[in-house]
Amino acid sequence: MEKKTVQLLTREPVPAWWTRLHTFSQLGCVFQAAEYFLPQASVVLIPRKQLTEFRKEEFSPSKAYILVDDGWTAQNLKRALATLKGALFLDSNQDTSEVSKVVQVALARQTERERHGELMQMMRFQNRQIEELNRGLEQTVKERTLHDADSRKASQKNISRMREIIGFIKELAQLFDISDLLPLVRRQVKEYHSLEAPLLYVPRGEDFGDLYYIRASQTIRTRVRGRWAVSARIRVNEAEDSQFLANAMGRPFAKVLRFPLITVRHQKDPSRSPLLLFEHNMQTRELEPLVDSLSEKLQPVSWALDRLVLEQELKSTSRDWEMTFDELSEPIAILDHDGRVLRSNSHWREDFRAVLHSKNQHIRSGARLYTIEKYPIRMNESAPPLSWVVYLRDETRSRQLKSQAVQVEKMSAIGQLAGHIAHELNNPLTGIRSLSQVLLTETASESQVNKDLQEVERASARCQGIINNLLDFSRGGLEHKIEIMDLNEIARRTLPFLKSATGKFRSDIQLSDGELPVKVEPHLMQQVIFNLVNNACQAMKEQGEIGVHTRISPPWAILEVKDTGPGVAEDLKDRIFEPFFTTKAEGEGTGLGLSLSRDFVRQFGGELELESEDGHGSVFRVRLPLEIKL
Amino acid sequence: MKVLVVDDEALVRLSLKRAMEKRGHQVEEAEDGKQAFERWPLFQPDLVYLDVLMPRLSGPDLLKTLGANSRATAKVVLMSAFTGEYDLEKAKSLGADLFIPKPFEDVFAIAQLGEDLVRG
Repeated sequence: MEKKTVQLLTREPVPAWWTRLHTFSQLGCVFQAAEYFLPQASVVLIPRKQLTEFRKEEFSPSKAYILVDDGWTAQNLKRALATLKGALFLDSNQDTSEVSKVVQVALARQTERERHGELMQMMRFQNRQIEELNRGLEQTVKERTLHDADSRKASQKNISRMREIIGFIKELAQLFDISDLLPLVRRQVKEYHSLEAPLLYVPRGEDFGDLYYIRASQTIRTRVRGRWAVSARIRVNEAEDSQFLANAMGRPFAKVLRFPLITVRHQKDPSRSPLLLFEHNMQTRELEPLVDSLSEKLQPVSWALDRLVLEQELKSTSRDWEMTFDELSEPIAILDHDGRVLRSNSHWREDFRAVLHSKNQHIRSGARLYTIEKYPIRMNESAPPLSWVVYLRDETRSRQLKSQAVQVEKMSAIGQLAGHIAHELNNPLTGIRSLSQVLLTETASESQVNKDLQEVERASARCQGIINNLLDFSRGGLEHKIEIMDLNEIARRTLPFLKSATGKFRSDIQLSDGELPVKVEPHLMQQVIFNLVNNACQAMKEQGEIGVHTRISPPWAILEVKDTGPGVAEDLKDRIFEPFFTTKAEGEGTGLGLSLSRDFVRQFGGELELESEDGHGSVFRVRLPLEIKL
Repeated sequence: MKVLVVDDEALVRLSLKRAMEKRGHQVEEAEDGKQAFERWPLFQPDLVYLDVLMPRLSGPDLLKTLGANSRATAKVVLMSAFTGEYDLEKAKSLGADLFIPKPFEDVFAIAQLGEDLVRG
């Protein structure tokens, strides 16, 4: 064990008692004298007079102090104690053994103090260790707590991601049109700045499809032709994709991300799946999280698209149906059982509702005649009808055609009959005329017989003429040949047939000088004249004058048929040209004469007009374009 | 020349007969194709006026039935009131040389046409 140091603090030569103490070796320590506190000293002896030179703080608690004086008074002792508590006292006048005892006590006290200090140190160390443990524990607890918070945060993040997807699905479900899909997808990727707006490709056939893209916040659809290999996997930066889009859009394309949208309908044949496309400029490592986050949203997009495409197809089918319905040229409507119109096309008129509960088979509306057709709509065969489809078939034209056909048939029968009659008459007539010619050569030219024979010859010639005209007229019913002909000639050939009709009226025939070449079917034109003259005669009933005038009024050839009958009332002027319109009694007229006549004249590029003043007769005027001379 | 007039209409036969006789020709008549079929080989005419539509045997049928020998060198003028069905081409395909539609305008013109035909 190391020897302890005992120091005497002094500025003067060491006193005799100090030296004597050295010799008192049984203390087993080192003695040293110095003017200042030696750090190694365990016990310091301080002369009382020097005590005032120190401040309290300069005394170390690990040392033991002994105050030395050669004549202690009670007052000195008190003052010293106040300055340095716990110090020992030594009277330098005492025996060396006494001094030694005091030093010995001081040493023992210092040793005790030292040991106490070690203990304290140990305790402090242990305390520190405990503190550290504590701190570690705290750290652990803190870390635990932090970790907990982190995992909570992570699961919250998961939840919010799920919420986001659910929200996305909800939004998808509310879409009405494919064109709204792209803006929605674009919002999902708006945080990726180097990703361009999405495009959508929907294959429609073997080598064409619709490409949807966004321009100026509008979704635009364009039909794209060309084969494009579609597969069920995600493609990244394929040159083929950039090329295809560049061709379709007419501009260069950067790298392309291609996601197939495997819809239910395309599960078996992914080569017809729609594609979601992004043009981008991203690094490969940036792509991975993007592809991950997008992949989860692809399935809902596929479903939505599936639905939208289906709806689109349904819509277009029903649109086709609606258009067909609306475009029908005849009135059609769907009525409920009370006759309320559920849907109707543009030809339907409100007053047609009445037909639903009417027993009539026909309804007339203006100039048109409709056959009523009603079809009940029932949920099943035994159920009462929920609604009715009412369709009005326009019979006007078909009736007109039927009448025309009857007319043509009649004409052809008359033609055949006239042909036979003409033949039967022609033979004897040829004989009569020829024999007259022979006999004329055998009689004296001034004789009565000769004159009579001339009459016979002329009469038979006239008969031949009439028969020829009749043959031409009747043959017209069968042959339809447009030719350029003199309107006057047609009139001249027709008028003899009307002799019986015009018989009791005065007639005023004024045909223009020279020819009136017109391009017509002569027999149809004859029918027109026949009809007009016949009508004029019927209009006059008792007596009057019938006029047939022709004239030139470039560029027209005009034929007018005038009568002095009662004329046509103002409100009937348009209607008399309508098919089936007639003022005659049942069975006397078909109501087709004027309608057909106008049809024929219009067919030849002309017009048939009526000029009439109530009570002052009528003028029917035929205008036909003049042709170049025959 | 010898002229055969075949027509079921008596007045036509009579007028043609008279007209031809006045021009110095020898004329025989037949009322229909059947009669003509019997008389043609015996009479051996130079010119025949032949009506198309006749009872028993029509003009075209007569031409078909008549052998080349029987017909000999006779020129045939076919006549018909059904002008629509016949024309010169049709008549020639039936073996006739000329077609005249009825009714005639002038019987002497018909006589002249026949004479011209025989004389070439």
